[in-house]
Amino acid sequence: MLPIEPDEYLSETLRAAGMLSVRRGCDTGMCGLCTVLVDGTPILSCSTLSARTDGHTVHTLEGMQEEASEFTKYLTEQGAEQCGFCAPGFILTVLAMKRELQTPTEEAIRRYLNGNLCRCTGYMGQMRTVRRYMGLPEPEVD
Amino acid sequence: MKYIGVPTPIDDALMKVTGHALYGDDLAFPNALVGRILFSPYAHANILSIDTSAAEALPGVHAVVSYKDSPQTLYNRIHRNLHDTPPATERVFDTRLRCISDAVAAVAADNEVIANRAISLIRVEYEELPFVLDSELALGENAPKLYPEGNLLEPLLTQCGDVDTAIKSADVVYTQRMETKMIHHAPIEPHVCVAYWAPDDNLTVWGPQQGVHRTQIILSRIFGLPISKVHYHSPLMGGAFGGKDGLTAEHIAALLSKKSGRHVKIRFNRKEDILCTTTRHAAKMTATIAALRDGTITAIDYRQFMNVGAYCGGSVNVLHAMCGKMFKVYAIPNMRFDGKAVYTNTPVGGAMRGFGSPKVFTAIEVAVNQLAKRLDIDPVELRMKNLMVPFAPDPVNGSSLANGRVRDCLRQGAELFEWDKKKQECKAKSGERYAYGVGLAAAMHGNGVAPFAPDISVASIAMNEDGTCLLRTGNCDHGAGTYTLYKMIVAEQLDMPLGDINLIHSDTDAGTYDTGAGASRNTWTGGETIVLVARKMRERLFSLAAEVFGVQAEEITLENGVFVTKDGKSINKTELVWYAMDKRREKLIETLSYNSYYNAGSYGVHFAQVRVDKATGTVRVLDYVAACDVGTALNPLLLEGQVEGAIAMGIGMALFEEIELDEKGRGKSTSFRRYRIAHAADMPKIRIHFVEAYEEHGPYGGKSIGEASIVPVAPAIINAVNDALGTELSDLPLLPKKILAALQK
Repeated sequence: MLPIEPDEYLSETLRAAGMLSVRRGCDTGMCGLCTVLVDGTPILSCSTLSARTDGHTVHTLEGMQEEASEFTKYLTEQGAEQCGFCAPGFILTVLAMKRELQTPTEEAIRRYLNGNLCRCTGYMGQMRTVRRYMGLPEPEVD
Repeated sequence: MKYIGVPTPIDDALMKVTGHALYGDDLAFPNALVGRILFSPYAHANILSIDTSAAEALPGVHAVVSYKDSPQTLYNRIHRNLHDTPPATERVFDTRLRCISDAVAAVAADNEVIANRAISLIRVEYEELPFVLDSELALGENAPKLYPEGNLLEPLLTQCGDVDTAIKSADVVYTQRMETKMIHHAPIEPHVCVAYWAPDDNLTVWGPQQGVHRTQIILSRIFGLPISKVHYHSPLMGGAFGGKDGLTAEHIAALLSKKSGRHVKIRFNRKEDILCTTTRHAAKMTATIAALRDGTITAIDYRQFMNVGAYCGGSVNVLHAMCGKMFKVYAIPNMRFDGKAVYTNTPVGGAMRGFGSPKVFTAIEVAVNQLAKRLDIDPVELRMKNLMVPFAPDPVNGSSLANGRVRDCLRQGAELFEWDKKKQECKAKSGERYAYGVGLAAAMHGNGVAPFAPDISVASIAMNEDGTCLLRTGNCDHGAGTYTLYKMIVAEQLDMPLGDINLIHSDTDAGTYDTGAGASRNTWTGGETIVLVARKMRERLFSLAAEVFGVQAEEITLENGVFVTKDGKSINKTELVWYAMDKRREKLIETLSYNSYYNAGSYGVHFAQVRVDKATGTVRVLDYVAACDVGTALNPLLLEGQVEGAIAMGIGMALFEEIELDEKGRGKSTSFRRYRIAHAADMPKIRIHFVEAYEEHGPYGGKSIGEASIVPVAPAIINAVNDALGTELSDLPLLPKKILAALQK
């Protein structure tokens, strides 16, 4: 339980509580950096009023270390990290995707991850890592 | 080699993927205030009066500053060193506002809500002034002037041979007009800084910063403080791409801190990051290329108006750098660069990945493909006939172009891409709805600021008491893996795992001096500095080991991190460290200052295949090959990461990135909805090929990649679109509406 103001957004509440993996990249719900899981579903915490999550379970990356460890190990091995600022939001989205989509197509993965922006990597290392994590083959050129 | 050339993940990846890495926004200070800035609502105006009393009276507000509190020192937001004297026309707060990123006032308050409320309570009376947004129009006789001396910041004319005669006697001449737009660096971490003005007049700034030492100098100049009283600490950086080079809001945070006596943090939101930091310059360019029937290019004539925005910043350097690079790709006797850097009432242009190269090479490379079409020569073949050869003299100044391998990139890249086959396939596949095309582009970027300015890096290595070491560097890692490379170099020299190397970086107090993390210096100059200082420590350790065993240093080998004599006696680093302390009363530390006098080129040739939807005007890049001249592939894993990231950024530049202003010069690109960068779904299949040919003066023969790799991307894609549609599209970005309009013609 965290004390909140009525007009406070979840990203602010979580950062004030020391959950610094919740990053601020756009403040307008368009970059995916502030993604957290509410009852297991990825949401953008910069556009969600804290009050709306009352009675629900909120997970940030701080509380998902064990669940994330297999995927994050692949991420580091693949060199998919550069500046790392977008990593927490991306990782939580992938964890939710794996639960939600059983054997997705390449296109479906890209659509799912389309809201998580990265300016350093061109998403290529991330996509290689996701395929390995989901057990999917490399795609062919259309 | 044990470490160099081995694919190595970024050294702090574990901290990043667990969410525990700390960035500027995460730094906490006692009783810190939140600073917010009121930016100009007009592209050009005078402040007639300002009333901040209501803001000051608001509970929770601790300081309000405007021109009334501001030092009136004129400065330039980018300095290279103390004696660098670029045009200085900015003030922290001025009564004259020359663009929408000019600050009118700022407040420091207990939290962001109060700070925003206080900003809304500031009453300002403005006098609107006539403004100009276009660099060509700004040179007109009746154009509104930003400065009494006019809007022309810098003209630059450089040439070799006789361009006019060559054009007159050519068989085919093609002229390409092109426009590129202002582009946002879009580091995913928006700009942030914290400043604290202590009662003893020491000013300390924390925040991501590519050039801590040069920004230290600017702050000292603005506030009249000794340089040594300004302290700059740059934490881990969430991407920069040139956008965190120099002053952004640090001076305003400093002024607010001086007035409030508290730490003040200013964090830009995305709107401010897009509109109120610096941008890649917009430019209007004309490239004329002349050739003989057999495909010998005889002349390149390049003219441009570069939109500086309202203040000089690094624009003079950008203009000169792009000019210098233009002459280094093709072996053509007659070339002319005629460029003008022009002030307008738009946000300020600055350094961005490629530093001018993406503009000049986009114009030229698109023109080369159009020329190839008119000559009926394959564009690969046309380039092969005209590209520079390694170690050729620069046609302007005669200096060696070093081991530039653009021809190898072209040959090997075309083979990997299967250029001929793909070209035919695209023709066969194109139909009613979808058109397929292929394109390529050749380009280069430099390594360092030599010979134009001091290009200095300093590093030190101290052996720790447990046999590990502490490396100090002044260079700043944008997030690309520079520090990982530095650790790899030390690991190679001292034969120790990366985890045994601690690092202090980009800190004016605890780190070492550095010219700044721009101009592709990090690998080239910074890396060579690490090689040299690590080699010094290596030699020191060898001679100590020799002393211990009473043999010559040449008789010792370093095996698995341990120094071993021929007859099998050994000593490890911890023992050597303590030997030095106990017997010699010495702490093992080596420091080295290195200046790079050389500036090699990093070349690249990129190939793209696209599909254009003729019904919607959308472009999809399908397949991509980047052949890169890297000297030695020092860390192939992170090299690939740089190139992949550059391709994403280049796709944006070619197809959708543009900071839009309305007719009054106010920002329309206020979020990632109005300023689109590449998403995962925009990315093609990518294959990267490294051409490795040892580059002397680079660390282990390696050279830069981060900037060089973005330069050929946009022209390769535009050429592919024009190939698919048979068009001459050149007005960037190639938005669907422009493609549809071209198809209707």
